[in-house]
Amino acid sequence: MASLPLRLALACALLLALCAGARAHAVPVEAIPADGAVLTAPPAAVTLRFNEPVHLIALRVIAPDGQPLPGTAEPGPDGTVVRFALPAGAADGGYLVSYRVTSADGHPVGGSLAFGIGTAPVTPAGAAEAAPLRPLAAVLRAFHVGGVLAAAGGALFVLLVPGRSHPLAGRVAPVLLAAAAVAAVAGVAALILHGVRLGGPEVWRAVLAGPPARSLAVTLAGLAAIAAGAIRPDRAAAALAGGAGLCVAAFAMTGHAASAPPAWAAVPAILLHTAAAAFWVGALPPLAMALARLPADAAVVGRFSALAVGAVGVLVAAGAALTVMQAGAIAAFPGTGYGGVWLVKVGLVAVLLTLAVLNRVVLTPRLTRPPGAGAGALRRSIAAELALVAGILAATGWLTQTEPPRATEAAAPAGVALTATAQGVTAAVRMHPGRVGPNRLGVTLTDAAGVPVDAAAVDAALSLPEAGVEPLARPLDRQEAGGYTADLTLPLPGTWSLRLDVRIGDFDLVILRTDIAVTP
Amino acid sequence: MRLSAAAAVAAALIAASAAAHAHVTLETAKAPAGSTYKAVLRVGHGCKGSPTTAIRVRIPEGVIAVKPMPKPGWTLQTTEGPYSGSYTEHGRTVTRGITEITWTGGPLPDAWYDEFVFRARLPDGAPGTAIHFPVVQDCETGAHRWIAIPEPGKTAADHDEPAPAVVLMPKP
Repeated sequence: MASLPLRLALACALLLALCAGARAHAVPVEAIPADGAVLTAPPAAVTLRFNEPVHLIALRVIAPDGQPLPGTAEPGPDGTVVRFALPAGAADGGYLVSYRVTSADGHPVGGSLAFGIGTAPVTPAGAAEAAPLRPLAAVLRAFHVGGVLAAAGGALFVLLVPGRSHPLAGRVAPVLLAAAAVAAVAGVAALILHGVRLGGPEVWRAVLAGPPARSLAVTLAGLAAIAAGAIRPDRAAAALAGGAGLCVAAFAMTGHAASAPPAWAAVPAILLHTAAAAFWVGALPPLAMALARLPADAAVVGRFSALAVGAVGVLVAAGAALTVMQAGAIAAFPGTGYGGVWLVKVGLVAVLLTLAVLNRVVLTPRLTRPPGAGAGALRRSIAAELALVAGILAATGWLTQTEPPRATEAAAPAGVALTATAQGVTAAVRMHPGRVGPNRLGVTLTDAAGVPVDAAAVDAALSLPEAGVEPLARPLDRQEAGGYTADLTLPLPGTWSLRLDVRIGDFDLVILRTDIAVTP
Repeated sequence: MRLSAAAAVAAALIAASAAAHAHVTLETAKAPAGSTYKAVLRVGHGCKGSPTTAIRVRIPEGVIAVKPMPKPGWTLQTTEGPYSGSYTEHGRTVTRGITEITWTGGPLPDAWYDEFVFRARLPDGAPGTAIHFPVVQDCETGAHRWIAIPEPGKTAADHDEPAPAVVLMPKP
């Protein structure tokens, strides 16, 4: 079992080596309609021309309603052209063309461009990914999180509540194994889906090297340790404890919460929140089992009840702290999608807490009086708790698929900002978001005295020498004196070379150069 | 790899042929510093097939005593203005003169060739100094702006539309 993470790591390393070996790429040299074009009537087709023959993997044209248009793309006779015929009567609005090809050397290249019919090309709603994938990602995430919490929490429960030599520990083992298996399968599936959503093979290198993959590797190691420990709980306390620790630690390695500032507060808060949630969730199935063997296991229930109070306190406090960090500005919270899902989660947690209080104050004490009297009620209560936990996990899974307000707020000023100076003209250059895909290039021109330079024309040429990408030329639109923008699509990550040709009057050309780091 | 090598060769060939045929250039690429220079601008094509309707030249600072040659079928116009510095011409101090020449007319079809001529005195610069004459070529549709002056370490080949230039040689 322990060799699984090792094998995964080897597979990652192999893929990394393969990806790093490839260099030359096919580059789109012409698109009809052009990226950013505004058309008055629907075009007959979308045509992409590349600098070398390409093999088409996929080309999707996403309509303004966010749905892909029916039809398939046809390669041209010499292999450099790919054509997608648009159905007659295409609606007005913004269209997104997303393509993926492999070049002669087998290296996949993907990109997208936008055009508009009768309107400016705005990215269609939800166009970044196929519509059904997001709920699927949330479900997989919920199963993964639920499985991990049940396995890690079950391991903690076995160690802390009945003790590893208690007969209950042996009976819980199949539950731990099943939970670990569900968590592992859902986790790997979620990672694959993550790669698919990001756009296919080209991004696998980034996905496999990224935090989600690292987090999953740690989780899988933890699950393997728990599974190994579950088989002989009386001998493998260290495996159970270590595995649970790894699973909990993995939660702090990825996700929106892990990246919320400040890290010194976010990471411990996630660890505490996850450990407490795991303990609670993981305890429910063993508790239900204990209740089936009353009065022998009544002491177990009582002991859990005592520990649970502390766990719930930690869970709520850490969760509240995380919420504050994620929300950024509390005032902006209720209006956001993130806020809505969060409210559902908090509502379910409130019901769950009420049940827990009922269990603790009313039902658990009843167990000890006439033997077994309250067991039925307590079992029903635990079943209800399990259902609520499922709901909470679903909400948590959805939260991981929703951008927190912190991210939406920060989106505006983010990106790459640089300056370049030549012949007395200074350009402040911004590339937003500075990632692969659609970007907005903004340039502010000033002279030595800081006065805006009203250029007659500003042209940008972007090239990626490290990948052999020749300059992609784009004129910038004048927004105001000294302020110029262009919307463009950067198909590959790397250090792009930007050349700005700033024409002042008829005859004076100022050439400014800078490098822009574009992340995957 | 073989393909990218072939592509590189093809790109180099295209670039070389473009440099030979496409640019507006000066017939005489070298001339002694301080000499009187006959500038012949060679125009080999229009703008993406569109015929040429005007050639405009900006005279750089330090180039004085500019005399454009009239051309049948073309209207000659000059713009005068102050120089940044002052220069000596036949014992006189000059502080202003022609800063821009425009020939308007034609139209010169894309398939035909023509030359536009002016005379001027080159500055007393160090040998090897390039004197650039930015040119705007207006066409019935579109324009070419031969105005890019290479940055240090770059050459005209690094630009799509470099400004025509003459390189100063030592005085005889």
